Amino acid sequence: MKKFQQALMTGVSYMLPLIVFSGMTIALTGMISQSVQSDFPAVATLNGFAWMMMDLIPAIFAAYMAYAIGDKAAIIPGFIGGYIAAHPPVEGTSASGFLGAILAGLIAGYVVLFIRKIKVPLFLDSIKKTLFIPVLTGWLLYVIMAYPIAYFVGALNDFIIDNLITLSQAPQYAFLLGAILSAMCAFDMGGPIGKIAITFVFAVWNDPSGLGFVVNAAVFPGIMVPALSVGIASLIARNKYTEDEIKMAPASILSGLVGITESTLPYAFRDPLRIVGANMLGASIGGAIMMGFGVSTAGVSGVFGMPMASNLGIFISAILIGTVISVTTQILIKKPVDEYTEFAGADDEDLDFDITL
Amino acid sequence: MKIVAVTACATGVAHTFMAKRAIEDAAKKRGHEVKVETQGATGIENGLTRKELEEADILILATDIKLARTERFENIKKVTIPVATAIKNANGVIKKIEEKLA
Repeated sequence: MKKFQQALMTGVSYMLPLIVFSGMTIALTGMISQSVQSDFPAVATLNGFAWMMMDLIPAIFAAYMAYAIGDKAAIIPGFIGGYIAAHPPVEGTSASGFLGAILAGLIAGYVVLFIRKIKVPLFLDSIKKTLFIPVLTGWLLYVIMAYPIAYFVGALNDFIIDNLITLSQAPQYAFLLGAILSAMCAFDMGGPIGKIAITFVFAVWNDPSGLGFVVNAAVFPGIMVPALSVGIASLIARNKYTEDEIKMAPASILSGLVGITESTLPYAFRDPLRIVGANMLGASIGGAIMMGFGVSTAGVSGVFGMPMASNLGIFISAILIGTVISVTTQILIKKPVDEYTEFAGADDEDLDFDITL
Repeated sequence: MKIVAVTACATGVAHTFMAKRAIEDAAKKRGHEVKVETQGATGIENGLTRKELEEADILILATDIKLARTERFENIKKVTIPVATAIKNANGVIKKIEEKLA
């Protein structure tokens, strides 16, 4: 399980720059084409190219997930499998999306790990490495991904996305989905739970319905509200925050603006229940507003997502309202600072590591 | 003690460096020599040299992802922990190492 989680995080880690590149490029080129009347062919071409790069994201993700498990030799088999997850080659099957890409990364990683362990006579060893692994695992991944996975997971993927589209188009449910996605991001501030929400956003990112950009906007409050709120709250209610926390406030507000939720962590470590609780409340209300009104954006990273918002007024209000709610809540429920004993993070029970060679 | 460490998180901009600072502070406070390599978004920074790795008493790997260039770490006494553990309780980690190595 730990190995699986590490592989998942490695995949996310290596695909992130590609997401940022294609997301920002699509957003900016889209904006230029919209705001300028005359056509720029070069801009439109760049936009098309960025979409091509976007389609490679599952392949890169699966490649590096496989790499985390089976090392270098697993990269290309993982890439092949992940590519098929986005581009099913067999007629009558559908893209298996991120679900398929996760399976591709796992299968490629473990198959390569297994083959590497098979002992062969020395004269065959170089052939095993240069020929067997790329060709055989490539074929294996092709067969598995193009047939059963593209068929079954593809159908499942279609089913999930279709239902989410229905949900997101019915305001009475959409607000709930937005609230949940934002709350997930605010819950662990850049950790695995939030990553699930973000992974979901990327999974439906290039769906033709435009759902990707709607759920993308819905996670913005979850990303921005926590860091903004702790910063602003610590400046307002100085007696309830430590010296260090007040000093960190400007950096935290700036981080919140550019979409780095992690700067909330020091505040949350010192007082997890109240800080995380207040942030989740504010973020989920922000997310509910955002998605309830169906606001969408192709931008990523905090304020950089703003210019691309389909409704700037509601976009900003959602984040502001979420922040005000979180700030008010934490100021109300936090206790003055001297009531705390020293930082209480020394929970020694998770220190069950062993020293190995 | 000579402590060396490597930190790496998924995004590679925040937790990686928070863990680095936590390990450095805790190690210094407990009177150890310390050097921390980060494998963040741009790659390896403050890289550990072969000499530093050879001389180290313990290598702490605080990571959520697969590390790069792990062949350097073979045959060195090491512990592997999640990044969050290093940030939350680096002091406890080092205390535990002291006990185990004693």
